[in-house]
Amino acid sequence: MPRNYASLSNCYKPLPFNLAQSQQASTTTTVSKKSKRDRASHELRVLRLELGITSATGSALVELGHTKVLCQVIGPTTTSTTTVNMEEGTLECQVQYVPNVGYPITSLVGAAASGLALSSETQQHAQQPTSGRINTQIGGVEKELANQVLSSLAAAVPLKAYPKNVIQLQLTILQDDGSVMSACTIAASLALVNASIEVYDMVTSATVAVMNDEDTTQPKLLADPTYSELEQADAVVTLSLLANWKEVTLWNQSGRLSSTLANEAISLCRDGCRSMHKFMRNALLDFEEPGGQKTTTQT
Amino acid sequence: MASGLALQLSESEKLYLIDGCADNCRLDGREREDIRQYTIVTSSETTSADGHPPLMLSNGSARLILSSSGSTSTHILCSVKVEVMTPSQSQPNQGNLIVHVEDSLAANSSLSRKKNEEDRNRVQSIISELLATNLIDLESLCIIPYHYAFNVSVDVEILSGTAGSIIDACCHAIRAALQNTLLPKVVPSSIVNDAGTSMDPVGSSSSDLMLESDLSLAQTPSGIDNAAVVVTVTVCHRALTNSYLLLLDASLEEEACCFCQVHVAVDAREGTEPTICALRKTGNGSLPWELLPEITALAVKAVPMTKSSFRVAGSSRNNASLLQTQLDIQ
Repeated sequence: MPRNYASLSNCYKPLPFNLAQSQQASTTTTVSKKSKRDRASHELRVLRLELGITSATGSALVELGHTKVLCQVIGPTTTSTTTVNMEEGTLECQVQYVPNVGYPITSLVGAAASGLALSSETQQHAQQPTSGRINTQIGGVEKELANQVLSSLAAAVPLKAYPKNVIQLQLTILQDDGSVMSACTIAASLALVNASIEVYDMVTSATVAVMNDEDTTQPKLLADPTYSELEQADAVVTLSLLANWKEVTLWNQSGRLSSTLANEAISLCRDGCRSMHKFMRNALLDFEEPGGQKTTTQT
Repeated sequence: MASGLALQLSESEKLYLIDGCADNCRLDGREREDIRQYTIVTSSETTSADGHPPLMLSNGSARLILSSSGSTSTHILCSVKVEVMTPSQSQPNQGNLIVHVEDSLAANSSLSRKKNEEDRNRVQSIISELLATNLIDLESLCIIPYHYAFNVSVDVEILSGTAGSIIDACCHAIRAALQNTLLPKVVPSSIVNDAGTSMDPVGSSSSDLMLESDLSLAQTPSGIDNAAVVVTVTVCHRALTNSYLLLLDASLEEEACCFCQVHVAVDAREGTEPTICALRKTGNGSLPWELLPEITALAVKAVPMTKSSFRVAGSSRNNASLLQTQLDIQ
């Protein structure tokens, strides 16, 4: 299988953990909401899409700024379980954060509230969550992401064309700096196409964060937010689209939004999805298999 | 889809059901936007004067019974337990609210255990994502910033889910249980002590707090009256006319043949425009773009209907004397 040696961009310096900022945040009751954003509010981050980098049937590496996700597709293969579906194929998804590095630990350290310690000496220790607790929390997040990626992709694959087969998606999150759900969906769609699995359309995804600005009364809509922007946001909307069919496969909103603001956020997501679809298509057309064959797409 | 009791329907049954919905007559005769009536039991009336809440040792509890025609019923039991804990460093002014959902009966059924566990986790993650921050005012749970705050732990037990609409029912039960929860009044003892007698800094001893054992001083968590209401809109796809039908309060059969579901948490207080606090789409179908505003409009429209379709059995503030004795012992 193709062996394009992909290199990760921006991976020489780890994401800065701003100790001074987090200590300052704990002593003041309000965290300053002003964050410098070096791109326009509707601009996506530096994007890198690579295909066919591992020896799995299909694979893709997606970098949205500092968020890096790798997806491998194994299949269609037969399954040895007794619960095989005779009518249509099964899509399975598994998400894993690279241990100790992938998950933004700053969101967990000190974030877990602990029960009352019996004595004052142990109270300091009680603040730090144990590694077992961190692992269960990460496991829960991974499961949730896997369910959502699965439901956003299931509409795109004509499973009736693969009866009794299992298509497995394995996502590895190398680094999470916001918009990880979108990055996973994009990586999974590209990997499916790279594995030559028939799809109705590629699924694209975009995340928008809504922040109430103190300076102006108009709330700000930020496309493709980073992790720190997500933490400060008042609401986050994630949308996954089948761009050519204009159908929504995943729709999530957390945080309060009035209906006009929600509609604006969804429109911004839709624009983000459309531009992402163009980038994905270009990445596919530029991808060359060894042997010089180019991928063909039917629109 | 949301519980371990997934029904298997044949293709012709699904067609029959969806055609019925298209004609505005569902399996049990309801219209597409009709909601069944729930019964919420917050205290059972006995022959003696005081009614008892369903779970007497919890700080608050509620039972929700939704019975459908044909002897199916959804039965949910919700318990709220409150304890004092140290708040997290990143949010020192806030208490904590955790929602946990258990589906014990499905675990004993003949379906494979792994699938059951996944379904159970699914319901729990959907409900906690929709509701965890939208139920009560977390800052009111704080006792002493950085040192003490309340940890409200909500446990939902799904006793039976055969009438469908489990997520809605769980959310209503949680809301009712929280409305009947009493937070004991806790006073920091550094305020009570006379000046000069106690120079211990807060946090050094375990007797910083005094619990008022007078039950009448206990309060319900603030913000619960404005808590979000969760409405599930079920989308069915009719292949014949390629049209999409929106249903409210789906039964188990309708959930088994639905295209996808959208769970919407709406905050509809009096006097303000209803805002959507959280939204989740579950299911493997893809929604056409034009349908999105219709779904949110239907969810918002359903909130007053949902609020008025409760039938509360028993009065809410008649509390068991057992809770009083528990506070006295402490």
